[in-house]
Amino acid sequence: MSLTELMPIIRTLSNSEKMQLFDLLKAELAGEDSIAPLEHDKTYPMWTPYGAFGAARVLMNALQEAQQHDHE
Amino acid sequence: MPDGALDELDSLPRLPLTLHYRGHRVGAIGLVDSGATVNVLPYRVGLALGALWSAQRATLRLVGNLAHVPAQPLIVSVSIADFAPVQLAFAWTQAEDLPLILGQVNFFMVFEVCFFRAQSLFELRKRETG
Repeated sequence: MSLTELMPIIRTLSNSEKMQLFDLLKAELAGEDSIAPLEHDKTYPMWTPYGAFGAARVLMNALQEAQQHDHE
Repeated sequence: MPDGALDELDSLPRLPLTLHYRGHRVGAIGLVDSGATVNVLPYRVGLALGALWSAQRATLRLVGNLAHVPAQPLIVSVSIADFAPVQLAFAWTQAEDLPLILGQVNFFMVFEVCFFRAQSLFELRKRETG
């Protein structure tokens, strides 16, 4: 639906409804601003290792071994 | 702890720290990442610490962008602000273009972290043990 089609509908709204619509659009635009630095069609690396539980277990074992070695 | 003069769109929780390993000392910036299961050390930082890469020890399997890059465990002593040095276990990866990541194992096991995103601040507290 285009803006030209929407305008007659918007004009029928009460003042309070227009204010609600204004607030809604303002919030949406603010949200878009916050993601603006991410460009379309560009790949962004995600370095965070989510759910690497096997690696976590190996690291915990290595840490315990190092701590035991320090105590000896 | 202030998060530096970062603007609203880049107020990531970055933490200055000093790594110590067998007589070597290297300053770095860590990204405090509660979504990361493990701490991750970029290859160049491990080399600067004098650590030796061993293909036999590179058995860690990470995930996502790091899944196809070999990684090995490396235990490093880390000084942060005025806290006493702590031992952190890192997945030392051969990947280069990534931040030093401070994750659940074992950074978040050693420190309690409170984020105050609206103020671009985060607070660290050493976790009580026993």
